[in-house]
Amino acid sequence: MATVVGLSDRYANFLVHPLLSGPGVCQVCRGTANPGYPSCRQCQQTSSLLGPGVADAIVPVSLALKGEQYANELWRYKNAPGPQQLYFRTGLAAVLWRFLALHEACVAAHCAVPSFDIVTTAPSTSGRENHPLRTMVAEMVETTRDRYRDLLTPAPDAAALGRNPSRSRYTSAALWGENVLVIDDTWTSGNHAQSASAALKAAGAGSVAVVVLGRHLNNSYGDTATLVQQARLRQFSWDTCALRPWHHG
Amino acid sequence: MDQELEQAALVALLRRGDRSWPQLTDQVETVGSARDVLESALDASGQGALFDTEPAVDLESIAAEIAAWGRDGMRLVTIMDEDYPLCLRLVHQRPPFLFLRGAHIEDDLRVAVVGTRNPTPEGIAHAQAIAGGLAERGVTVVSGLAAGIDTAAHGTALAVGGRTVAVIGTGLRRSYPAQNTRLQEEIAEKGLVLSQFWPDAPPSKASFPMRNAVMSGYSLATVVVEAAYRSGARMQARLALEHGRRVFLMRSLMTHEWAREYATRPNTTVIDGADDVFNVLDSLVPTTGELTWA
Repeated sequence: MATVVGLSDRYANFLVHPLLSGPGVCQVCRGTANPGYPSCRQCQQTSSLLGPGVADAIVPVSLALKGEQYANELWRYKNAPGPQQLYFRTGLAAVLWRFLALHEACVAAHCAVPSFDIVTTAPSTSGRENHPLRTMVAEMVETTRDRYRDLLTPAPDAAALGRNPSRSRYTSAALWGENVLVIDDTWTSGNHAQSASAALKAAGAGSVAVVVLGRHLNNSYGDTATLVQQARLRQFSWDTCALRPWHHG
Repeated sequence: MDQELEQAALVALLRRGDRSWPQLTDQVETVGSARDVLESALDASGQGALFDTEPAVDLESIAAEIAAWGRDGMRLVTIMDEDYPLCLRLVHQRPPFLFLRGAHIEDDLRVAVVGTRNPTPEGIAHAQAIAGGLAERGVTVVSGLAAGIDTAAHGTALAVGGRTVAVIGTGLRRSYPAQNTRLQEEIAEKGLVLSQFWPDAPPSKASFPMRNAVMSGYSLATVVVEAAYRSGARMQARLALEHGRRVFLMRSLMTHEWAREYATRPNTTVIDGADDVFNVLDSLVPTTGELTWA
């Protein structure tokens, strides 16, 4: 029997809470920001390109650190064919389910909305069909499957946009003010998730929030290594989230 | 033949030494073929263009080498092979290949029993009670063939007629410590000796922690019997938790500060005997399928 509590308990020893907001940490994406700046250069750029299209909240469940179990699972659950994939999908779905069951309300409160009407994922712009993340959100996770809708379609030239955030990377089905929760697996630069948010808002979404399973960080950049060391000192707990970093829920 | 050439290509890639083994493991797994990875590596180094009629790596001769290892009782299993142990496949520190001497059973319940090389008589007694108790209940006792607790765990499992597996820190043709050579042979005959190193690899400072990672990955859980702060056993407890595996700490360990701290972490249990481990083992088997909350 695969239970959410049983499986996600095992993750608690290697999940790492995202960086606490504060000096040196980007208040948008929880990456490293240059001293004196409220957000990182990437998020400043994204914000000037997309304006109000950017997501209203970006909430990483955990850091995903290179060379460790979680980052490895987040890569292999979709990229490494073999019997391990089903196990990783089940485990990661349990992680997502438990986090949302405990903290989706925190995300909604942060966005000042009562709840999210629709849950969606950003389709791959590299042409992957039936993305396993979609399977997890649309089928495996009980808290999301009844609200799941395929809203986004990648633009034909999406791959050519490279790594830049863009309003035209995706197009979204029309919306009438519904609040949308976007689930993504890994946040590196945030270009995909932010492009998805911009498309959703352009199509009429109310509030858009992004919950991301793993926040990738480049340890060799700036003070990142020190900040990660500090983050590791806080033992992971399921009843804490990036928006309310104390025990609750 | 296809599988033999795949294995040979993996060996060739690892011998090239231009990428780390974990990197290569990820890459081969992602691409789905060691031969494809090898080919593109050769192309990138320009050899493909220079010798495009001749294979730059003689896979046939490596395949012959693998076959010779096999005749020597050392079976090579690579990450691309279906019979690579699933439990181990699930951890990020899975090695690209294993050498097996003995019989691998895929679906036995495996528990690692580890501890210090310099045990007290009580430590030995605890190791015997745990290993014997598990082995009598049909659980495979996994350990590292080191002196002290490891030797007691293997020995007791064999003595009660149970199954035991040694995950060793050298190649299969070596024994460390030397006085366990005979024990290693006996485990190979009745159970399994497993190594992630080339057959002639000597022991090294780096090889034992690597071995601990594989022992954790191969097992459903790790029991720490008696271990100081600076010990391979404590390291294995840390690695097991980082793999998402359960760690059982003998109550007698609670005299150590490190063990009391570990006991507060998720997925750890303080135990008094084999039953405390055995009763929860089924719940530790990796699962897939429909999720329910609890």
